Amino acid sequence: MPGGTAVGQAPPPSVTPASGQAGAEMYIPLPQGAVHRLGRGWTTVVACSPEGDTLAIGTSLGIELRKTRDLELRGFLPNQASVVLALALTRDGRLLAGGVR
Amino acid sequence: MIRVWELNTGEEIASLNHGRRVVSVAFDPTGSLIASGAGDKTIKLWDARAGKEFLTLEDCRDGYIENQGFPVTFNKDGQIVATGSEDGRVKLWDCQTGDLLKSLEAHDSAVLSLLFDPSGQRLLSRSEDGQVKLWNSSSGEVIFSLHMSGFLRPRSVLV
Repeated sequence: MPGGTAVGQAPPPSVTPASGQAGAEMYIPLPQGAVHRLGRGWTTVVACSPEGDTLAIGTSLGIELRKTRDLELRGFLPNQASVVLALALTRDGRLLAGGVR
Repeated sequence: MIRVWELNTGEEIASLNHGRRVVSVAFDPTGSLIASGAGDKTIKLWDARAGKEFLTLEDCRDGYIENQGFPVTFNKDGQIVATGSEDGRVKLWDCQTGDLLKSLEAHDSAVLSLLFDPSGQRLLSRSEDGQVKLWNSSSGEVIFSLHMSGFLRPRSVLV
């Protein structure tokens, strides 16, 4: 996927990265030393692709897909009333499997 | 339930019915097989794209660790799947036939992590009580073992 094609549906407005504008989610400062907060809602599971380039973060709202290099949000798969308990990615980065409750 | 997505399109290409509480999923190295462990205390192997189950591993019901599930991992060529048990055993299975190839009395407590090294010859296991062992996966011999308890207890392993 050269350039990182957008995946799936765009994040719903409530999970768009906070822009600091009115209506943005409540901001909780990062602990000392942390560089980024990933996942919205509560996070249940994190998995990395075997090649290390993609990060999948399972949360109560859905699955975030990010590039490991810059943590840029590459896609978002919204939850459909099921919490993700396990995640796996294929070596070629083409498939994602999620085990749900 | 296991859901499988094509990441290029975001399309859900398969939905595999393994009941409730699917606590572990793993792809084989080619991305064609999925192993899953669930609350029904079974481990199943699936054809990822066709969305079809082709094997249930028998004799693994003792493995299920409540809310932590089975560690499950494929070897390099996808011929062998290794599973960990609550009773400390590590089992190696033939992915084609479902035959139990080897059962190692690996640990004194639940096996929480399991992975093959990139060569596929060695297997790394971690138990709840903080033991980490590296195995020769064909002979079943321990190559290396360490034990750190209490706060120093390892929480995850990589090879």
